[in-house]
Order: sequence, then structure tokens, then C-alpha cells
Amino acid sequence: MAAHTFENRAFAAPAELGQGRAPSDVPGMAEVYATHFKYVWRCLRALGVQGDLLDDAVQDVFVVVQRKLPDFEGQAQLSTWLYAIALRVARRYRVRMATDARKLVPAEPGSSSDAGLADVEGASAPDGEHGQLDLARRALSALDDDKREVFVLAFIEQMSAPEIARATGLPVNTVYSRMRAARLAFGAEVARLESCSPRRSR
Amino acid sequence: MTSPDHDVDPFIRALQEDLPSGADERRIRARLLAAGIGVGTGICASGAAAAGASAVAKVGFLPKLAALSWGTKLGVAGVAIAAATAVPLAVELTSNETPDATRPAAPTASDPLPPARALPAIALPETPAASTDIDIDEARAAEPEPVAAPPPEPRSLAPRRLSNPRSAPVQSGREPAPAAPTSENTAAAAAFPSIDAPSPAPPPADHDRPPAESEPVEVVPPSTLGEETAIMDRALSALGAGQRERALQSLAEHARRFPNGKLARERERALQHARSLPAASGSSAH
Repeated sequence: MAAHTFENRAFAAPAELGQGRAPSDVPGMAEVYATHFKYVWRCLRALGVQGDLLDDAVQDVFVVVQRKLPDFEGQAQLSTWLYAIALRVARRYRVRMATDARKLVPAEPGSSSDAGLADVEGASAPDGEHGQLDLARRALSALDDDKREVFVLAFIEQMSAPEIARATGLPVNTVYSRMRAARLAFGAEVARLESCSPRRSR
Repeated sequence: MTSPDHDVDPFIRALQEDLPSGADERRIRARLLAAGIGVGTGICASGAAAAGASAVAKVGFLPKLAALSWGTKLGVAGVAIAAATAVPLAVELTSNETPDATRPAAPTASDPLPPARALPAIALPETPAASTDIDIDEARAAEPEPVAAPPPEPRSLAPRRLSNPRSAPVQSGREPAPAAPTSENTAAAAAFPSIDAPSPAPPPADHDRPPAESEPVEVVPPSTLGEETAIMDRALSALGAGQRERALQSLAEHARRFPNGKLARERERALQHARSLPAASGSSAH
């Protein structure tokens, strides 16, 4: 009953997909997925969505995209629009993960939820072939959520500060200052983790 | 101990190269397709393919008709001619008692054909969906939205008249959707939609309008998707809050009321998740 609805909406006419945009400018759902899936996945992962929840989060993003694509007006770049959705989905999942972590693993006195997440994320393979990536993930998870979001969007997804400001709703100056602070915090955490891992080459 | 100028570029590059594997992509694509999200069938759908599909969707009836095979065209033409000749005959037979002055003359080559609305619509059975598995969020999102266009391929022998009034705008060349008027002055915030609130698409006003006498009335069984979604929503909320017992109660209610419901697959998955929760967490969450 509803499946053909979804399929047809997925290939909706460009005229429906964006007001004020040339029809050829607005891609269909399949094209959006093909061109942006990897980056949505990477963004969600970098924003702290882990494990099986990552698949759920990616699905949630594209459910929202399919639902909202007809309303996309082209006032921002499509990638910015997608990252804005991914950002909100990731926030929801981070809350859920933090709630689950608190329930499943009693937090020790003085430990923050971020530290708990860092342990979870870094617990899989602290060393090995992908040691640099693991260390980067752990350093990333040590950032607070505000810095982490800006760091991911700015340095991993290569978005400009105005685009980040649009996606997050922050003032541009705040974005710039958070970019600076996030990079410093990330570097400090990397250095700390490296000093704790004498086997690492760097 | 730590230097603010620590070179983080290699680590940032490592994070940038942290992309999904082919297995990840296949797994998620299968999930999205099962959830009814049209993500295409190839790994990377070409822009031309997507544009072609879009173009087929946006053109009107005549271009679609022109794109048919010759056999189909001949069939359509035959039925159209038969219908065009049968209707005046029917009109003539039913108006034998009317005076000649009011009786319509036999159609000539210059006369316009009778309007096609007198033709009975050929009702087609609904195409069975390739997959009716609908994700809960998608179901929640899609439920208030208008039904989109049927597949463009001509499955009827005459121009198909849509008995579902919600599909009518699609038939008229996919003009602006009536449920989602967007204004020019929409703020930038509106460009980034909330992920929580589904589109508040109002139900079509045609629901209240009694069908015209000439329209065939298609009896559609009431959908249970709304109730299913509500129950599953409660179950998932309870799961999210770690309330195992409440989640199990809601899932049991769903299983009792909709044993073969559209969300049965999601129910089983949620059930597994609920069973994996520690039993004590439910009481502690209260």
C-alpha cells in the first residue's frame, strides 16, 4: 500500500523538490543517497553514534531526507542541509547512548558521560593497524558535544564557518571560536593519548 | 605536557578516511529499501538515471503515451475508438424518447467527441508492493502525507482515472503539491527541518466532499498503520527509557492486536532489544 508511495516520492519530479531552484539543480532521493551516503555515515560516526545505532541513525537521516526533500528550498547547499539533519539525529542518539551507558555501566564518581563514551569508543582496538584512527576517535570523543560538532563539520566534513553557522544555528563568530578551541582541545587530547601509548610511533 | 600546536592533521585525515565499507553500504541500503526509502538499486545511481526517472514522473499523460510500445499504443487506440463509438450509441439509446431537437446528432468528423468522463473507469488492483516493511519512523512520517503518484507505466487500457482523490494532483502534471505550500520568505531555520516533527500535512479536503455521482467509489479498508505506529511508538519510547516491562507490554499489545501487522518486523526487532535489557532496569527506571 504505502511502498509504492515511497518509491514514487523517491523519484519525485524536480519541480516538486525545491522552490526557487532550477529543476535540474535538485537531485532525487536516489541521487542524494548515492552522493552523500558515505559522508552522512562518516559524520554520524564522528559525531559519536556507534555500533548498531549507527545503522539506525543513518536510516533516520534518510527517512527525514525523504520526508523533507520536497520542502528543500535551496536556500543552503544540499550538503549543509543534510549535515544539519545528521547533526540533529546524532544529538538524539548521543543522548540515547549516554542514557544506556549510564544504566548499563554504573558511572564512577567524577566520571563524565563523555569519558564514558570515550571508553566505549576506544575500547575496541586501542592499538593495531588502525591505531591512528582509533586514537583520533578517542580524542574526538573526549571533546564536549559543542566542540565536537563544530570540529567534525569544520575539519572532517570541510564545511565553511558560515555553513556551520547555518547548520547549527550558531553565530559565525561563535563557530570560529569553537573551531579554534576544538582544534586545540583535539590536539591536546591526541598528545595526551600518545604520551599514554608508548608503543605508538608518533 | 600537551602542546597546543600539536600536529593533528594526520589524525584528521584518518577520520576523513573513515568511510563505510562496501558491506556497510550494502547492509544499510538493504535496510533503507526495506523501509521503503527509494535509495536506488545501484551502488551509485547515475545522475542521468535519476534525471530520467524524474523526467518520466513530471511529464504529462501524452508524453507518457508516446513512450509506450507500438503494441500498447494500438491496444489503447483500439479501446479508445471502441469507447468513443459506444458512448454516443449509449446516449442515443437512452434518449430515444427525447424530441429530436434536443437529441444530439450523430457525431460527425467535425464534432467533438463526447467527454471522456462518461467512460467507466477501469479499476485496477493495487500493485503488491515489493516490500511492505515500513520502518516505524518512516511510517510515522509517511502516514499523514498525501499518497504520491502511482507508477507511470500504463496498466489500464484507457486513460486511468484516479478514484483516490488524493492522487489527483499528480495526474495533472505534478503541479505544486497542495499539502506543502512553501513561501519565499521562509526563514533559514526552516531549511533545516526538525527531525522530530513530521510534516503536518493536513488531510485532503476532498475527504469531506461526497463523491460525485459519476465517480466510482472505491471501498478502502481503514488502515491500521496509525494504531500500529502509536503502539510501537510507546514501545520504543519505553525501550529508549530503558523501561523493559512497559516496552514488553506495548509489544505484547501490538502482537495481540496486529499479529501480522505492517510493523510486525519492527516489533520482533524491538522485542529482541527489550529482551536483551536487564530485567531490573525496568523497575529502576520507574
